[in-house]
Parts: sequence; structure tokens; C-alpha cells
Amino acid sequence: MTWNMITGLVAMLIGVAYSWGAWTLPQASFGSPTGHIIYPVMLGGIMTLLGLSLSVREWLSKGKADAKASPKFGKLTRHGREIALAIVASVGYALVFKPLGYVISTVLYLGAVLFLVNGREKLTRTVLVAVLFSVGVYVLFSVLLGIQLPRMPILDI
Amino acid sequence: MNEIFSQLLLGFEVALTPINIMWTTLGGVLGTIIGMLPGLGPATGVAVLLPLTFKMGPVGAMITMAGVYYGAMFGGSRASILLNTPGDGAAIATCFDGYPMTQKGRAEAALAMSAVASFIGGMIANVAMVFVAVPVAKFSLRFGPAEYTLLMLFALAATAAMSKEKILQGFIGMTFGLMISTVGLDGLTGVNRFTFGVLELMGGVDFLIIIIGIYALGEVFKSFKSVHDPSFKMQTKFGKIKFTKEDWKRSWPAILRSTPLGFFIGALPGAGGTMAALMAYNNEKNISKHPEEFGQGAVEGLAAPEAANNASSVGALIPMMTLGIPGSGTTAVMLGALLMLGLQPGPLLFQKQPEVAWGMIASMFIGNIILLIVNMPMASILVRVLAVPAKVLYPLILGLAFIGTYAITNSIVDFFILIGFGLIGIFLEKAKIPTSPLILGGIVGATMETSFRQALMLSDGSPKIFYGSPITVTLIALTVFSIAWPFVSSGLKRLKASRSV
Amino acid sequence: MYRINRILAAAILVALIAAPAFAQAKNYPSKTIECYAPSGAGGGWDLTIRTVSKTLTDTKLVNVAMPVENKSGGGGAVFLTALQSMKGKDNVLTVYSPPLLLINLNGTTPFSYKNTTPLARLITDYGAFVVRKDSKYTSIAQVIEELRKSTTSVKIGGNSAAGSMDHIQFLVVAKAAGVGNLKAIQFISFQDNAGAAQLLGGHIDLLSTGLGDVRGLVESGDLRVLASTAPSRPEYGVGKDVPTVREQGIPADFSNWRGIFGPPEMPAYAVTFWRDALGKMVKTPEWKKACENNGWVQSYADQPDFVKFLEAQNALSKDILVELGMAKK
Repeated sequence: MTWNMITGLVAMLIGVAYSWGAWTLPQASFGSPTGHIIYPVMLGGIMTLLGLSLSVREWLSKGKADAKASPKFGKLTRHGREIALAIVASVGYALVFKPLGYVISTVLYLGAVLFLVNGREKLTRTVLVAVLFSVGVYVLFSVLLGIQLPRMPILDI
Repeated sequence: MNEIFSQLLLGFEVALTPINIMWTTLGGVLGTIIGMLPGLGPATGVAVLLPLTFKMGPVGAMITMAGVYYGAMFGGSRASILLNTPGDGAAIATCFDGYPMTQKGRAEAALAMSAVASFIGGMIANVAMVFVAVPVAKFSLRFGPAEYTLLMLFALAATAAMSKEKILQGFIGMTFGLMISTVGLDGLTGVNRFTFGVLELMGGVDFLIIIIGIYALGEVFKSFKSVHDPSFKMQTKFGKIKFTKEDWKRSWPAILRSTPLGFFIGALPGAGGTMAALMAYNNEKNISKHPEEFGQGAVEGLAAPEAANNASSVGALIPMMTLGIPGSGTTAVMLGALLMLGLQPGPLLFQKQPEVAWGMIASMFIGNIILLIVNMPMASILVRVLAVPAKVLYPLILGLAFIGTYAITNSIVDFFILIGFGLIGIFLEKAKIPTSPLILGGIVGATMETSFRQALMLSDGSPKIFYGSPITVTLIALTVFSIAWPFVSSGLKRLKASRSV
Repeated sequence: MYRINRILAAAILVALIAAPAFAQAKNYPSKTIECYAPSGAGGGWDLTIRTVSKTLTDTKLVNVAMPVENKSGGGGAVFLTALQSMKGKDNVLTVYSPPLLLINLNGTTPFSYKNTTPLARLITDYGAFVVRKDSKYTSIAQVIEELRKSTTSVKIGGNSAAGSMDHIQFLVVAKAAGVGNLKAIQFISFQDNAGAAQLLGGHIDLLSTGLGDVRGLVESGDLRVLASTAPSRPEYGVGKDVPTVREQGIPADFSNWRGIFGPPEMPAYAVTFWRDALGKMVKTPEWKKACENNGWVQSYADQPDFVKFLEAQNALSKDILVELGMAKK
């Protein structure tokens, strides 16, 4: 299975699902009752066709498919694992952003990602960078640019 | 003609007072800084300034706000060139050749060319603003819903067809971007589409979040691999911020071609800098004798979008100045500021408050010169970001990506959308699908759909409206040409090669 | 002893938590007031709340900062949702106008004016029906006559979403003039205030908008106002030279009121403070001058009257939407 084949199949899947989603939208109570439906159904149809042509083209040229253009499945590489962990950290960040306020949540998040990349090496640098960045950005946005960021609980700064 | 000169002279008298030179510098520098931060573009920059404008008075306010606008165009490309993370839509096209130049150790030349191209684009556009603002505004009014639909279609098709080997993948990305743009409340019928009951999605997905997700998050995730590579080196020695004679020879025709294009696209309400920059890039690639160098660090591929986006920021002021109609998010805020200061924007602004209108125009000449002077030393400091250890730099980009997203909508829901687009970015990278068609689709999709439906409402359902005027016919021809040209030109080359054998 | 200690500890804890609240009620407001415009910068709501914020701080009626933030989307519905998560806060203010009622009634959002704390109505703008200077129409009656012949013959556009203000104000007039089949009248909604450019370019025939929104182009003579939806001509602004719909024999009017709102369950001390501050503000010369500049008609109403007004308007709007077949089912 090459990347192009996957792209084609995913595109077809998205196209069909999207068209179906558009088709089942409620009718409008005013204006043109189906005006908001026809265009997305068209888009979904185009997507399906594009995906189909890519898949067929890829299938026809099967003989030439090389390993380089195909994804490797199996054991998670270090790279893959780090991306997965960074995404988990990001989701966690999103969840604590409002309750903990900008500064605390960002120190934790940046600390986690820096630790992920640097490991136990240079822990001091990790902590220092995380704290300085969080406080610096907070001052830049909240104080200088006047863009409100979530405040710390209790202390309210 | 004489009248224009005497008015412009009045403008310079206003703009050259010390206080107004100060506002020009302040606006330009603030814009440059705001433009560099991901998610913060000229619209945010101008909005941040709003409360201050009360104390500046109308002239100072307009001068400073215009400075933020074109300053952001100068600054927006810095992160594109150095880190491959555009801060705004208008800076995407700068990544295509700017970042490869950095990878080849030519960051200094790229930064210098970006500043000079921005400067020239801005200056020529200013001259155009002085002499042809009114005819350009009149012409732009001829763009109705049908014309907009086809203009967007042309820009999309040209961008998707840019890489001929990946044309199908390009169109898939484009369609996906168009799909994303249908999320939210439909203004023509009041129906929510694809919001899955999440009320925050009613306003749609902001295209800046798509850009930050795909580029900034994507770039960071990619970097996780390279930072552990022992052969990975950061740049520690830096040269002067300048480019070679050869660079200049290749770039100046591109700059001169892209400036009028950017200026006109900017003057069309609702089109904007992203489209201007991408169209300029496509155009240069199509007419180039060596299109294969594009994307590998071709200097003209950097100069063209830089000139175009600066010119577009000047063009965007035209509908506001001549008609009192906002042509972009940024000029909408500027109009609001004018109203709060008790001025009436509209055709009479030039007669009733010539010092405001002409003062602002004159200040833009001065501002561009100041920004060119300021940007050179600034660039020599900024380029040193490449000396920051990658293991520190890339996690910080993540931090900036999130704060930029929060600044756009103040909503946590968008954090999840951002992460989602980061994942999509990884997929696009792995499957080698070009990203710009997807992003352009996300940006112009909503306007294209509503224009398409508005056009059909105006024509009572008849498709004739799409080929009934000289403008629409021209746009259709350009669209067909832009899809066919890459194939035709390579066919011609093959023909030539086989003949010479 | 142990138990008393615990009670004491609890009492101290309660006092500690409650103390800031009491203190706040006394020296309110002591911290930044967050003002929100439920639309992008530069629009009518934005202009109103920014003018309020500026006037209140300029006249020293309020001595803390009142920065304005924009939260656009869904014709105001997106911020209305966000406002629900600010329940009980004492430092949030926003602005709304008829769409607050309309987006609830037409089903765009489940929240209504009941999910806010109305503080005061400040101003009123009126609808305007505008054409190009070379248009064949010279009165709204002619447009109605044309529509009576064929509902698709006049291309009508506006800057708000379909089913919201610009659309409804035209239909209210058409209905009063006796046009049947109102649903067949096509309304083309433009975003980002592009409507005026589309009218100038000749792509639509008539623009339904606000009197204040097209002042510049009317003064320069590029556009003509056929009629305003004011009940009688306002004293200043563009509206004073424009015939009303009523003057042209159609018994209808439509007011675009704008008022200030707090989040749901805003604390009583905050409500008292803002009612008082806004009541004083509308009497200042600064506010009067701002109204004249923007062509707004002052129509101050304190909270009790404002709530009654909202109830009446809501019932009225509901009737209209039901008749037009646009009410949520």
C-alpha cells in the first residue's frame, strides 16, 4: 500500500461521508431551501472522483511502486513515539489552560515538551526556558498588547 | 495632474512633522513585530492600537495604522524564511523558496531580498495609489458575485496545478480546504453545517489556525527526528544581510511583474494578501525558464510574493479611502477608528479632510523607507535565531503556536482544531501532498461558495451569469490556461529535445 | 473542643473566601472591565461598545480600564454562547441589538435575551433602503409595485445574514404594503459590509441597511436613500432629509435599538453600578456629541423599561417570523 493509494482511499472516504453529511442537512426555512446543500454535495462528489482517479492511477502503475513511497507499519519508531507524546501533552495543555491560567499551564506544557526532546540532559535549561517563556509571553500579550489571557487562580494575575 | 502634486505636497507637509514621523516609525516597527508572531496579523495589530488612536488624532491614527498594515507584511515573512512557519496567510508563499534558501545557508540573502522586494513593491504601489486609485476602485466595482467566484476558482486551480506531478493530490488538498470552509453558520440560509452541535464552530474554522497547525505544528513534529540526528547542525556563523548581483538580476523582473498584480488583487474587496502572494508565485513559476528550481531556493520565487503582498496591503486601502467600504479585516478596523474619531469615511474624505487622506498616503512613502532601514539591522539580529539550539527552539514554536491561536478566538475548542491540523500536516508531509492548495481553499472557500450561490440567485438560476461579461470570460480562459500550461510547456520542451537529437 | 476548632476553621475559611466579594461590592469596580463586541472590529456593535467604553472612561464615570475585545461569528450567536460560560461575573459587558432576538427566534441559537442581564437601551438607528444615484426608482412604493408584479424582478441585498435584521426590516415593509408570497422575495446576504460595493457596481438593485452605514456615499451623491424605517424623521443625521416609509403610505416601521448587557446572573451590586453609570453617561456632552457624529438617535431606557421593551419586541418579532415562515419549528 503506497501513500498515494492511502491518499486516494482516504479522499474517497471523506468525499462520500461529507456528501452524505451534506445531503442529510436540514432544509432551510427561508431563502433557497436547498441552496446550502447542493454546493457541499458537489464538493463531496468531486472529492470522491479525485480520490478514485488517484487510486486507479496508482493501481495501474503498481509494478513501479517502490518501498520508499509506502509507509512502514509495525513498531513505533522513536520519532513516532515522540510525536504521539507531544500530542498527548498538547491535549493536556488544552484541558488545563483555562483552569490553571496561562502561566502555570504553559510552564507545565513547555516543560513537558522540552523534557521530551532533551531528556534528563540540561534540566536547569528546560525549567529556565519554560518559565521565562511563559512569563515573557504573558507580559507581552496581557500587559503590552492588551490581549487578555486566562489568569492564575487564587492570585488573579 | 498639478492638483494631485499639490495635494501630495500637502500630504508630505503633514507626514514630515516630527510627531508624524514618529507615528510612522512606531506603526511600522510594531507591525513588523506583530507580523512575526504566529497568528497575529495586521488586523490584530490595528485592533490593539484602537484605544491609543483616540489620543493620536485622526492623522496620527491613520498614519500609525497604515504603518502596522504594511509593517506586518515586512515582518510576516521573517518566520517563513527562518523557520518555515508563516505568521499569516500572506507569508505562506514566502516559505516555498525562502526556507530552502535558509537550508542552503543563504538565510541572509533571503532576508535581504525579502526586505528589498517588500520595499519596492510597497513604493511602486504607493505611486499607483496616488495616480490611479479612483479608476482602480471603479474597475473593482465591476466584480460582482460571478466575477468573484471565477477569480477564486482561477487562483485555486492555478495553485493546485502548480506542481504538475502531484496535480491530483493538489486538487484533493484544495477540495479538502473548501470542505473545511463550509463548516459553520451559512449566512444565506441561517443553517448550521458540520458543526456537530459545537456552538464554537458556528463561526467556522479560522484559516490562521489551519496555517499554524499545518506549518508550525507540522514543522515541530518533523523536527523531532532531526534534533536527535548527530549530523544535524545549527548555523553559528552569520554573514552580512545582503544578496548577490546574480540574485538581483533574477529578481527584479519578478518584482516588477508581481507588484501591479498584488496591488490590484489587494484593491478587490475580499481577495487579500494570501491570494496576491500565491498568484504572484504561480505566475513566476509558470513563465520561468527553469521552473524546476522553484521550491529549491529560487530567489525570484521569494521576491515575487514579497513584492505582491506588500503591494496588496496598499491596494486594500483603496476601497476604504475612495468609497468608505472595508476591503479587508484590517481596513474594517481602520474605518471603525475613523468613525470613532468623528470622521466620515467615503468619497468626500479627500475633499473634507485632505490632510488625513493625503497625510496617510505620503506617510507610506516615508514608512517604507524607514522600514527598509530598520529591517536590515533587525534581520541581522533575527537571523541569529538559527543559532538557538533546535531542542529549545522547536518546543518554543509550539508555545507560540498555541498563544497565537488563543489570540485569534479566545477559545479552547480551537486548540483541539489546531492539534487536529497538526496531525493532518504530518499526513500531508508523509503522503507528499502540497499544502498550499488546501490552505488557499480554506481561505477563499467561504467567499467562493457564497459568491457562487449569490450569482445564481441574481441570475434566477441561469449559469449564463458566469460567462456573460468580458471579465468572466477572461477569468475562465486564465483558469483553463493555468491548468493546461504546465503540461503544454513540458510537452513543448520534449518536442524541442526530440527535434534536436 | 476539637469540633469547635473545626467550626472555627470553617468559619475563617468562609470569611476569607467571602471577604474579597464584600470588598468588591464596596469598591466596585476595582479591576479591569472586559467589554465584548459580538462582531468584528469596525461594525455597528463594535462602534457602540467602543464609544461607551471611551465615554465612560473619558468622563471618569468609570475609573478602571475597559478594553474592548471582538468575538465575531454567527451573527452574534458565537459570543452569546461564550457569554453563558461567564455566568455570574461582575466585570463583563457587551452590546446587542435586534439580531439578539432574531437569531434565537429563527433557530440559529438556543439562547435568547433571557440568558443575559439587560442593563440599558442606549440608542436607536433606523433601516434604510438605498439605491444607486442613476436608479429608476425614486420611492419605496415603486419598488413594492414592481415586486407585486414579479417577486424576483428586484434584486435586494443586505449586510446581515438571511433571516436577520436587514432581511426582516424589508419584509416588514413589504408585508405592510400588502405584498403576498413574502418567502419568494430573494434576499442576497453579503459579508463584511460588501453590500454597498455590490450596489455601486450594479450587481444588486436595492440595499437594505442602516441609515448610519451609508452616510458617506449618500453625502457624496453616489447613493440615494429611498426611505427610512423610522416612525418619524429623526432630528439629525442622514435620516432628517429622508422620507420615512410611513410618509410614503406604508404603515410600517423598524427600529434598530442597541443596548448594553451583562452576563447571566450578574451580581446585584454590579447591575446597580452599571445602571447608574450608563444613566449618567447618556447625559454627558461627550456622549451627545458621539451620537450626533454617528447619526444615532438617543433612546435611553433603564433596566426595568428595557426588559419590558425586550419582551414586547420579542413577541412582535416572533409574530413577524411566524408569519414569514421563518420561525424555528
